[in-house]
Amino acid sequence: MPSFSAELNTEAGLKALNEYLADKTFIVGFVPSSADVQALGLVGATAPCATKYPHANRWFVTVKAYTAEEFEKVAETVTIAAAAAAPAKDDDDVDLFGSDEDDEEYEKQLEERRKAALASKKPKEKVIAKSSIMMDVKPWDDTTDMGELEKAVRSIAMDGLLWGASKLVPVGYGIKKLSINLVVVDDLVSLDDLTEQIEAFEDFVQSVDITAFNKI
Amino acid sequence: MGKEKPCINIVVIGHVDAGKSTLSGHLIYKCGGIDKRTMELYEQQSAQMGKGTFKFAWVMDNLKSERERGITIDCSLMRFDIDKYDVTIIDAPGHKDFIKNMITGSSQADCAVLVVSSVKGEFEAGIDKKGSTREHALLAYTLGVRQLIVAVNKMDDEKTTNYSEARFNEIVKETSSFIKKIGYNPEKVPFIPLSAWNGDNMLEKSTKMPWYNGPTLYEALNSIVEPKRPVDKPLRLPIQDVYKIGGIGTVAVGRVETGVMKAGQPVVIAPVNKVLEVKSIERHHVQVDQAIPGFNVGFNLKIGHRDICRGMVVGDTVDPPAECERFVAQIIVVNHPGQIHVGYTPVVDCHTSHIACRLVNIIDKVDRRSGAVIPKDENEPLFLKTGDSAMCEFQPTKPMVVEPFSEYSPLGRFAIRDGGSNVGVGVIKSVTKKQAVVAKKK
Repeated sequence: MPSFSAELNTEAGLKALNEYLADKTFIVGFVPSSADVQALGLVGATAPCATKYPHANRWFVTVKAYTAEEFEKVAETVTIAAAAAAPAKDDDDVDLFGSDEDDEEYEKQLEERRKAALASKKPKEKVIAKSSIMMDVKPWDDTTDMGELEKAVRSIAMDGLLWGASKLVPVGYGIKKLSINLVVVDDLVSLDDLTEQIEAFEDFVQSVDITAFNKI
Repeated sequence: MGKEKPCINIVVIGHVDAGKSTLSGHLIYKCGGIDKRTMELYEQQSAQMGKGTFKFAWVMDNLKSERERGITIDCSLMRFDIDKYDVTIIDAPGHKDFIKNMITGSSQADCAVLVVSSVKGEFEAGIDKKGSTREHALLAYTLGVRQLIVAVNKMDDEKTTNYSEARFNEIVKETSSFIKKIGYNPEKVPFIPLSAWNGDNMLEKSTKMPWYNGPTLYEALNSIVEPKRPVDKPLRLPIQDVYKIGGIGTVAVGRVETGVMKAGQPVVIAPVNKVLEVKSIERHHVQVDQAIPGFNVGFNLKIGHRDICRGMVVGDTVDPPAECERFVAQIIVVNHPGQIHVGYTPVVDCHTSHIACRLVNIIDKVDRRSGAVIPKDENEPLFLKTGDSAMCEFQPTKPMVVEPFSEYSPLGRFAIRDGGSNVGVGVIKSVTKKQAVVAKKK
């Protein structure tokens, strides 16, 4: 639909409308539509001056002549007609000499394209690859405060790193190690970095070992 | 710890879309890898949601989200039971640090399960040159994982596969040539057509593939040859940590890789070359008389706790470990942006030690699957780039203890690191021990 400024009740607006309607009966297409109703509302209740804007006046009178009921029907017809138009076009293209195989082939092609589309879509929706890891963090001796050690470990924050559950596992001679679960986003977290950061808590940590490493 | 069944480790490799997680999940789900209480909870929930008909999908989703939250301590260890074995399954992640962990980490896989999708397009993408499947399979082979099972997944796919024998045969043919290139003998590898999603040929024989007479995945896992635990070899135990315990003295902790360590026996600690007596051994806070391969133990030694450290190796007096002067290894360059020349000094991660080693000689470039030497041009100095395999000689910059892979495999495989990235992997062919060299010189 051509866009008219809201000021169809002003001189300039009416002039534009008049020019636009010089070679048209209705605003859109060959039947009245909702576009006409809209424009009519903008023009207002009084008809444009017949001498100054003959085309606008003619359109105004014509459109006004339709009742609201008729309008609804007509407007509906327009949409239906428009909808019907597309398949109708296809009908024109029907290959009278073609066989049904074409359709099948087309179906196949479609299927392939659908697949291709699906395939091309997949990488976009690709789930972020994550790994589930279990780490053993070992203290210096049996007097290391394991609570503080765990607190220190958990204080490390990285993009894509999530600390999970943990437990203390007895090693021997009163020493316990901290077994801690973590989830990392593969592309974001380097385990070498992480291990280094943990081992940097020299007061608590002697060494770090990875005991399990799985894809999620 | 009254474990009756032997334990085996399985690593599941394959393309992202091949259905590795579904396959692993199915095994865990069906073989009692999920504890009963959790299972009941899931069943209740799924019934409430009206999804009772397809519990598996529900369980998989839940397991995944649970593992993503990391709130259960056991969920990162995936275990299940089959008739013959206690299985720990490793679902190989795409994380770049995984390879290093696979080499230096705790568990050497006893068998690899290669999952390929039978769906047209997906299969082809899966064994593509760029895919991680090739890399993982090659590494598995290089690191001594000689048992392989190929799972041809998604046989239920309606559009392209549809339980078709022809499609299966086609895939077997292609995959055979693929694994043959890596070094496996396809005739000894079981190929199993299955659907991890529907359960066809997973635990029970599928009625939809009457043309297939081979084993189900479950049967194939049961027929894995039991790995030999190297009990009869000389002792090797790389030290992980050293503690000073009041009233006891120095305690070292590590995992026995080969041989047996007994309380009261004399041991040699390399590279410091100290002979000491193992006063006592503890495992999970319980005193034990001896430790066998796979045991993680603490043991009391009469030595200053500053005199020993991580990376040292404990052995017995029969064939004692010793500092190495140089070692020759076959390496594979997995990822290096440029060229590697003699003089390159990356960090070598071998068992518990991380020591920079200088590349002193590129002896020969070799065909990485056959190990055959590639003829070289005498005038051109050799260099290595990504994808190359070569026999190389390294010289550690600090005292280091390594062993030939063929004798003590856990001490004979290593990862090569430079900066933050994993450059390659290697297996040690021969080691020149320090005192041997000295002896020769004299």
